[in-house]
Amino acid sequence: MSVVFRDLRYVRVEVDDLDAATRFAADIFGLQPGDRTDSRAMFRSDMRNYALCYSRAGDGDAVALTVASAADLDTVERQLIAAGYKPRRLTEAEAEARQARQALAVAAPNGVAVEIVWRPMTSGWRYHGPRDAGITGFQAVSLACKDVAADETFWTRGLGLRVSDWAGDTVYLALDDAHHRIALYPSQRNALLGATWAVEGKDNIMVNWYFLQKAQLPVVAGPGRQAASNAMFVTTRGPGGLLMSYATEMDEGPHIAARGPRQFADAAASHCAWGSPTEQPEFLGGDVP
Amino acid sequence: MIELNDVVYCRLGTTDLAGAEWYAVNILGLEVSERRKGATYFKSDHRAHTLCYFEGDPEDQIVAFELGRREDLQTAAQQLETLGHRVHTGTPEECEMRHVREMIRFRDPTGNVVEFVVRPETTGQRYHGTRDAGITGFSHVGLCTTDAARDEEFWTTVCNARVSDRIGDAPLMRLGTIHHSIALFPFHKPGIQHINHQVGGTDDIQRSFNFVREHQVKITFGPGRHPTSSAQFLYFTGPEGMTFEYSTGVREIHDEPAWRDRQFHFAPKGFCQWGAAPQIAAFRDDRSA
Repeated sequence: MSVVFRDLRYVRVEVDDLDAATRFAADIFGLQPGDRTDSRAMFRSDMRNYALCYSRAGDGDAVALTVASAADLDTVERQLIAAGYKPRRLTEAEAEARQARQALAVAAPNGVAVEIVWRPMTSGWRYHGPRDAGITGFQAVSLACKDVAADETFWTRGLGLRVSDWAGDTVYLALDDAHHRIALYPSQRNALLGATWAVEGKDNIMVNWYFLQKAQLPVVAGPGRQAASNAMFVTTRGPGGLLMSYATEMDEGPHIAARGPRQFADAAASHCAWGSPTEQPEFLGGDVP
Repeated sequence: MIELNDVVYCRLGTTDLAGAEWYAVNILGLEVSERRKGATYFKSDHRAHTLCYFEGDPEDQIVAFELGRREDLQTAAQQLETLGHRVHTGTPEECEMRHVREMIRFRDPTGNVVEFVVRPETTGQRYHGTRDAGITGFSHVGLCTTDAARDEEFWTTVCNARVSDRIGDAPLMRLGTIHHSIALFPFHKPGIQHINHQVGGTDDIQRSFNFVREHQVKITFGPGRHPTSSAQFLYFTGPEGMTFEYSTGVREIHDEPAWRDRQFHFAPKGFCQWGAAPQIAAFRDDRSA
């Protein structure tokens, strides 16, 4: 891996109604409303100036990674071109709309834009959520892929992420000490699948689970524990169809890279070791009815 | 003062011994330690048995506590008789049926049948359940009380129980360092209100939640977490309507003089800090007398 990405930076999802989306993100999910324009509503979960962007600007669904230097941005661009992908430098205005100094975008095989940003905005003000959901930060993004092998090649060869584990053909990809920041799920569709926010502990998972039920939101998955990452989670569905999860206790540390990727079974039990029921096909593995 | 070391077993009458055994093994996860004519014994830890189902009236329920020495048992019998309790000294047959050296039986002020025993049998064989419920042992009982203040006084002044916390008028009382080994819940008649087994951790609670639900067993409370003992819990219904509980992470009180009993709400928030609401008659304010 020639470039070390600093972090998973943001996720952007197209929605129909920014006000309704804001009510979900803030009042229900507990993210802090940040900058807002006519076409974009941004939300904070940590020191990032934003981690979630709901957009009506027509700029598509995207997930972004941060590089440390302009030279790294050049390196990623060359690497992508060499691997046969077509990255595009974003204009100054486009980069500004994303609150980054420089950026490039490339379409992943599943059609979701991957944006590589340099100098994304950090806030001097800590995150303070509108309700006590226990959120500590932006943790991971999952993608649904019709041709998951092509997407795995893109993320590993094109961008240089590391496979932590597989569950069936689901790929967990790491870019730092966390078990994964990107997860690729075999699917009937190509799409941005979900975003995960880290919370302090299991109390928050369970309190949020009861909160979601009381708010009459669908519990798409969980409370459960991912077999490979050890992350305890609960998942609902938010605006733009994006799955929104709270998670805690995800495995983290150099031992993950050191031991190398493990293969878990292509089964629902790999997606939840507690046996929580779900109808989300991506989380059923080979157990699809 | 009658010094009780610990709660040791429960004996429950049933009209369907085979059904009760099926449930205890396949749902609750206990191990059959012995079958006799008209009775089945179950292990949950190193002890020879911690639960016995016998053919009989389901209202016939007994809970037993261990005393340290036979002299203490004799003193206890005298003391109870002085207080007006009718005390029955166990016959050798009765003692043999319970795997104890000596025993006495009496009714607490509410009418709960209580046995005090010495030298309950321990085995060198560890418990190994048929299903992996993660049980680490029988831990406490909830008893019904028709007068919580009167019965609290009995258990804390005649016996050595100490109040750790109260939920409404319901005292949670410790015998050793575990937050509670007996709890009293106001109800219109005597009986065992619930039987608790400890499990290894969060995963066991959550896996059992899904397991029990999938087996169409009624979950009456949880998964949740008690603000009193800090234990994570799951309550569900067993044979003859008995409530069983799994819990993990119960608080221990080591600094005896420093502990101050606390008063909690007799409302869902006093029972669960995650947001679960009990569907258990004795845990609800709207219970009918």
